[in-house]
Amino acid sequence: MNIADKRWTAVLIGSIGFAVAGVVSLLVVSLSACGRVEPPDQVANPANYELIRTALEAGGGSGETAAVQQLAQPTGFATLSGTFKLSGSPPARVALPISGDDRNVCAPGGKTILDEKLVVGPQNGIEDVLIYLTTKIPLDDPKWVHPSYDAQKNAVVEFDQKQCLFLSHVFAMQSSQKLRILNSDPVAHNTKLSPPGGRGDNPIVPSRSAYEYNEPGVELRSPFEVSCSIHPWMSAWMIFRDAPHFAVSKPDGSFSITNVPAGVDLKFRVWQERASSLTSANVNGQAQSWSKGEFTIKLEPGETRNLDVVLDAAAFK
Amino acid sequence: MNMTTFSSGTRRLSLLASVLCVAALLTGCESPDARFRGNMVAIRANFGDKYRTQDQHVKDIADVLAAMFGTPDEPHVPKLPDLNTAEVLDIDKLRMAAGPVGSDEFDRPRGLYRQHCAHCHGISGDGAGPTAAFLNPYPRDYRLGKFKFKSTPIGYKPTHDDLKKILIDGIPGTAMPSFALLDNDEIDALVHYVKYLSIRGEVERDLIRYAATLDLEAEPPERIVNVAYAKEKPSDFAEQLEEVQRSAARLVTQWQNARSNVMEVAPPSRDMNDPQARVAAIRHGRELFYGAVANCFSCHGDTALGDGKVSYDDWVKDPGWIDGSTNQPIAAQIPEFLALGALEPQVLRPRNLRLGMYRGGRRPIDMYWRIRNGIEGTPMPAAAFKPEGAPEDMKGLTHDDIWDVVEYLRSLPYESISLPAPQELENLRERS
Repeated sequence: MNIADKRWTAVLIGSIGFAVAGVVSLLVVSLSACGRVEPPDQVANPANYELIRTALEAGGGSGETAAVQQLAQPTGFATLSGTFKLSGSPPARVALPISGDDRNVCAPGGKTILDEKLVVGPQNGIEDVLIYLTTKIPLDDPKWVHPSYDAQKNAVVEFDQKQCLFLSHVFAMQSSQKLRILNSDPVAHNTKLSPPGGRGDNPIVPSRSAYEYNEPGVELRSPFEVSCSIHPWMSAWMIFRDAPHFAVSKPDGSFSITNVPAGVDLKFRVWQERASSLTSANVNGQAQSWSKGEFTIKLEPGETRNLDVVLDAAAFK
Repeated sequence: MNMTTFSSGTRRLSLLASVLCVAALLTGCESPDARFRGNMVAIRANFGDKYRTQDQHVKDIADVLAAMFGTPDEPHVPKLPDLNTAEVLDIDKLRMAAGPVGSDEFDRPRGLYRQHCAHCHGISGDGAGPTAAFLNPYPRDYRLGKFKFKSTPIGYKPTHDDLKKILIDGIPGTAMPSFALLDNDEIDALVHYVKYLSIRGEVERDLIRYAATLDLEAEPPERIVNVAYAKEKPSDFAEQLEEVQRSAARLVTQWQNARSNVMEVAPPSRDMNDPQARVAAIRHGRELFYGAVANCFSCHGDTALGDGKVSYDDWVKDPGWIDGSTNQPIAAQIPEFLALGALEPQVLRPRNLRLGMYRGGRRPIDMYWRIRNGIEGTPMPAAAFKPEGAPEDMKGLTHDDIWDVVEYLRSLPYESISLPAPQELENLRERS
């Protein structure tokens, strides 16, 4: 083999190698380009959707009023109260990443502020557990909504923030009420609301001023997160409900809902930020299985029913 | 060995290589078929760990959506009680935009959406078409029903003309091009189709949220719609249909009301064509920019270069994988959501105001709207507004304050530090 031959062999091997590398890399590229996962197609059943379409076009239904009338009538009112407690050790709270020009206001002296996703008190009481009625009830009927709730129906409720924390980490209000967003800080905040199905808003609230969010108007199935873009660690949860029967647990885990319709089966939902869909609880010493955080209860007229609810730490992520 | 065998061998190899490449490309990616894709990300977000066992809900949602909105080839406009849906969704326009690309017997175009939009925005309007993952920002996902650049405040739908303007002008600084070369009725058709996909997508999300409150394991299973009830339990069936209709009716009403929510803006009191007035406006606007009431600097940065706070927009946050306290993605959840079709979380930076490039439009009125109304779906808040006749001590920007901020922003790209550094001349021949 002379030198020229050797050179050609080298070139040949080189070009084969180059071609193979090219094919391989193209294969890799073509495969990886298709690597993004596509969600599945929606496959509708023609017989079903034709039937639904025909029914909708024929005027849909006027089922709601009929359904409400099918409900048994309440026989009076009762109070539902109790405490939420935790068994087991809760996940650790983490320090909020407070930074920026306002840190002297938000964390004076550089002190550590912990997140409020799950705050457990000294007696294992769980703060900020939301409990609300999910059964649809006739809101204009005084047999269902006690007149003691009339005054608050269109009232203005306040949602405040101080030291760059929302003072109510979980906030429930009626959808007919008006919301006044306050800022008790010497710095500006903005309060970003994105209620699913409701009207979003994101106003700047200058220091020590107020902003009126006109009535929410729409009932939400579950809470949504409220945030502040200027101080991104700020976080709260808010819900609008048509009926006034809801409560948020205090730092000791206690709650109370007065004038709940009695003598009828009612569904209540329990929600906590770290456990949005609770499936079990121990109520007054008895294990209960809940469906999506919901339980059914029937109160006797005039009674005060106390629920000692113990939730297992495993349910909180 | 000689040159001839070598070159023919190489030729054969390269032929083989190209055949293999084409084969790989063809088998790897089929062209997407024209079916809407389910919003699995929302299912995962609403059902948590149990999202895999919701097949009945997934099927029911597909049936309800097909009943109300048809298919990508055969769109349908739902009839809703007491509403003129055609005002928002014109079926003739939708047909022009829907279906495969082509034309009808009168040579009118068909399939405009797939021709011009679907490769980025996706057949379902989920903003996840084949090119989406390569773009920054990602193409808009219409299914949240939120639009950034519009004449209406946050929480209200954009007007038909707002969307039309985006199609005609494009969005500078993004992959969204101008479609000014399309005929007016073609642009109209596409706007109707965007609204159609948006309403459809929002109804789907509503149904998913509704489904999350229903218990499939109950006896009988709680379903969104059970067609067997049409005969067996007509009143229950009617109730189910009503729940479904309520969501669509609410959305159609919102779109219908868009025009009445347009923020009308009077011109500034200052005559901005007068150089002295304009200089005063810029000076005042600058003060406001750095002031505690407007607070622009806290995100757009002390230099207005957009180097303030990095965040995420509502579309990225939607699956709930951004931790509200740390403002960071929850790492453990990312692979699961990506496997369901979500795009990697992309950070959102405040706009660099020195570039002179304005995504929402460069007209002063566009900038006024951005400041006064905020930008929907983003951290950009609406200014605290001080209406005429408000108490003296009320904190907020007046109508003219906002115009002054606009004027300041318009001057920023022309400040000397905004201009590109003078180019250093290279390869200059030294002359002695």
